[in-house]
Amino acid sequence: MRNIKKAQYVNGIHKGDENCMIKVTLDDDSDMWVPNECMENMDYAEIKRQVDAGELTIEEAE
Amino acid sequence: MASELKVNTITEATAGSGITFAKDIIPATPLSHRNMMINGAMLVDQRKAGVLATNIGATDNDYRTLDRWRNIWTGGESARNSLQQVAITDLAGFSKALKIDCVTAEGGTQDADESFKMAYRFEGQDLQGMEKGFSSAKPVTVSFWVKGTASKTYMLELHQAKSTARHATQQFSVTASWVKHTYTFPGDTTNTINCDNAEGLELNLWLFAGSNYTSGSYTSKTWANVTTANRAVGISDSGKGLMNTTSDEVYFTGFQMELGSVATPFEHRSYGDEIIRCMRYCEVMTGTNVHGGLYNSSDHLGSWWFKVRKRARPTTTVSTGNQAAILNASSGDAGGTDSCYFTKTSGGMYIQNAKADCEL
Repeated sequence: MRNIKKAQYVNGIHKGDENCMIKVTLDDDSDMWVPNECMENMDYAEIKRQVDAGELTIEEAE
Repeated sequence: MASELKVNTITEATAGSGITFAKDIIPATPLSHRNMMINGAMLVDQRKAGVLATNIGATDNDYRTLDRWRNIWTGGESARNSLQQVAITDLAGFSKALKIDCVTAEGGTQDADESFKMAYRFEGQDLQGMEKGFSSAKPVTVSFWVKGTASKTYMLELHQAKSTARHATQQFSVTASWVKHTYTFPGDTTNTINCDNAEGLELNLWLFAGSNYTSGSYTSKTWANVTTANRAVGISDSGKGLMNTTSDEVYFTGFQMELGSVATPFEHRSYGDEIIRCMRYCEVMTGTNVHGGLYNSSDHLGSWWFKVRKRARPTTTVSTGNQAAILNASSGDAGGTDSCYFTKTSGGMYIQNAKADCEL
């Protein structure tokens, strides 16, 4: 994954889908949608690594 | 009564009659699906369709061009490379190759932690035939074609990332002409491979490596617990390898990894077969134009059904579309590997060019 400028939780429109995704804005201003708490997804694994290392904070959903 | 016939060649008795076996032939290794690698002939490039990806370096760790081939940089400073699927006309049987070019050479002293390699990651559940970790562990044979612009030595590594990581390495040479390399790695009786959808094994092509990876010792094709300093020993130009000068480039194609100690001819698969296999890991929608409709009083919703069930819930990006969010999980669809949905609170919603990526 390239450098992350911003990460924010996203709610789905179905019941129980709170914080189901993370909207990631990269340093080239492109957006990607990463499934939350899915360690099988390599992008989420990298996001979690950065959060655990204190390098990244995920903003609350709007 | 059992008997054994040892021959090198069986030929037909009558010219033109062919050879018929009256009973089943039971081979020690598969007759089909021999090649455990996907896109070994470098045919599928969903992300870039042959367009150059350049200025790659620093800590870039991503899939930039050809499906299934990950570029991994660590600690990079000034050096940069490019990647591209290119057409080739000088190697019978192959029309595409992965070209890796040095666009900015490593200037000055190479730092110890700098490295660049191309990696192919196998899914663990696809490698159970290796019987790795069992006393019956089977050898695998890796074969591939390579060509460069100068004589160089690089490193091929099979690497298993577990709590106690294992690896086996083999140096290989590159010249200005196509050369086919064939290496048989013995079965490894240590460390089973988990039968799941995670990475089971990584095939690495080390092309540039600092002393952290090159200062150890080299043993050919021998499984051992990983010693970092042994991973890329012997790369040319004191480790600078491909990144030594901007005239350095290397081409790869025809990758095959198969069970057994013999390299059989490359298993050519149709493009259709190959791209479907690739889509388990990445699917690119090009101009499909999927629309959605009103879901409730305020929300519009549309679905993108993937052509192939994904290895895991994918990361989704949209390059052309009109949507507010992309989601691939709901309370009734915990998997999210068959489809994703997209939403917006106003009409005119669609996605047209998008990517669902769950590469290893």
